Amino acid sequence: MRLITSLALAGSLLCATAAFAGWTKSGAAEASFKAKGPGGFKMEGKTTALDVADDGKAVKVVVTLKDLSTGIALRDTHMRDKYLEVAKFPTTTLVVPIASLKIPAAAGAIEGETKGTYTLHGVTKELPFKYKGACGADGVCKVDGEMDVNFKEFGISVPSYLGITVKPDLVVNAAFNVKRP
Amino acid sequence: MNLRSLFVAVVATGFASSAANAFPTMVRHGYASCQACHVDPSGGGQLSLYGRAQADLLVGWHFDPKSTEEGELSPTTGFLFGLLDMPEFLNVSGNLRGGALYNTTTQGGGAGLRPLLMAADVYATVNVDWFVAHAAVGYGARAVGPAVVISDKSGPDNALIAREFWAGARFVDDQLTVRAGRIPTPFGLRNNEHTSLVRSLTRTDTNVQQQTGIAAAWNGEAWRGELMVMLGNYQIRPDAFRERGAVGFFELALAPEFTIGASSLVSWAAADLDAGVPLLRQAHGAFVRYAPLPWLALLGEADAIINYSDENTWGAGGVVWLQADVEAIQGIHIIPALEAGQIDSTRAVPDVGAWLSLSWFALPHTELRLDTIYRQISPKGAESLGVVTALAQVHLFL
Repeated sequence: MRLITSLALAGSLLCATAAFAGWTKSGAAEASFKAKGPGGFKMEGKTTALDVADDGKAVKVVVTLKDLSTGIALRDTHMRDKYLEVAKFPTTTLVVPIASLKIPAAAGAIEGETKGTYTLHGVTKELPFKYKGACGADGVCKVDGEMDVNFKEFGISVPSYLGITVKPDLVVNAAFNVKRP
Repeated sequence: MNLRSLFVAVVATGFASSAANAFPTMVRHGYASCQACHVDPSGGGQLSLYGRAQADLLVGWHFDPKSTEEGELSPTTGFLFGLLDMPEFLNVSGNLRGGALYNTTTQGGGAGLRPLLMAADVYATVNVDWFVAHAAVGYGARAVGPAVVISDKSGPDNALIAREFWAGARFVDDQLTVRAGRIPTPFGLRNNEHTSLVRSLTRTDTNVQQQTGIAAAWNGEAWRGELMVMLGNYQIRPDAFRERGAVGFFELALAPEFTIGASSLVSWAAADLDAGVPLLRQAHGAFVRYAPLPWLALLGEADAIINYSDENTWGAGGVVWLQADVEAIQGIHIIPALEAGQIDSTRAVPDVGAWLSLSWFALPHTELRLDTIYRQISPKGAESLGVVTALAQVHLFL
């Protein structure tokens, strides 16, 4: 069994959070996922290739998967090529209606829970997610969102490698800043 | 020099490198838990199949680092460099360490240069569903008394040894392991340097200090630990020498690259192996593993040691171990360490030591290692003595 350990999932990651009409991404961003296996096995994958788009009705968080990394090169290769099939499905996205988001009128904290349309591995499902953040006087809002993703529901096979089988339930996180127009 | 005399030639200090290999610095790769890569739920010793793969991918040196990104694992990671395929339920491997040791003192004494065989063991593990059984047996050339099964003249040298043999069951998605047999004492860092003061003064190395007992180990998402009831080492006799009590550790992962832990040991023997008198022995302490940078891992352990004899005499002391593992190039390690420790509180100063080790995982299953150690030993009522030791070794983990 030469499957890859990897976890794949990662990709999944992406979650989105709030964004607002006309707002633009500001500064660094990171999408990540956490996966678990038997006997305390844990794995975390990360990428900074996250973009936020806003068409006035919905905010779209797009994560490019080709640079998603778990810190182990061969595992990453297996994850991207065999499980996420990044060549066919290069991104994962979350689309959230702006009307469903709590947006502070000025500086202040935000926190909420809503649903978004999540696409991974070519499969689209509506998933709930939580988000929180804070907007500053400079018009920049820090946003952090998290959701649970079962990668089997997105047509991704369960990675199993030399006795280590990854559990299909992931925690996917996205963190980024957006700036008011 | 014949083979036997070569095997028997060792150091006056009893120095011998650890029979097992443990990688507490794997925290740098986010592996705070050891069970994925080792058969032992608390780490060290025989690698699992997954661990053999990581040994190549993460531990080994590669002439072309990009080679580890290819789609399949090198077949050389298998048993005997991949020459033999094992059935899935059976994990067999070998552990061979040999080299040469140089030892001298500031007063001109010492053992000089000697060949050294540190380990010649075979490991076997059977794993069927929830059942797991493991044994590590081999030949011990010198100073392996606590692990001896049969030896020449019933002594501690030239012996058939059994370092470990245990059977158990794994539950709760392999997070809980319950086992019984001869088990490494779950205490502190499972560092390779078994002659370090922190391992020798607490008698918790994985070389020969295993104990017979019953243990339960947990490897969860946030924490791991193991608690063992010590029933005594049944490879020594008479029964008066056998230590009975409890030992355990708890380690919390504050982050994938940062853990803190605590250990405790309480045991009683009617005749302590070292002191020869009834002894209540205690060790309690804390340890930390931290990888602030991908190329740097830091290990630390500090333990208090309290001994109480039947003659109403107390002995108290402590031991400290601080180690850094610098791996600027994968597979090549520079490992400095500092140590200090004493058990006898009536001594004015503790023994202190400084280590500098170089380790190169040059080929699959192969480690080349050089340890240099300076120790300042301050015996009670005697002049302080400096001891310089250098050990060059080849380690094959087949």
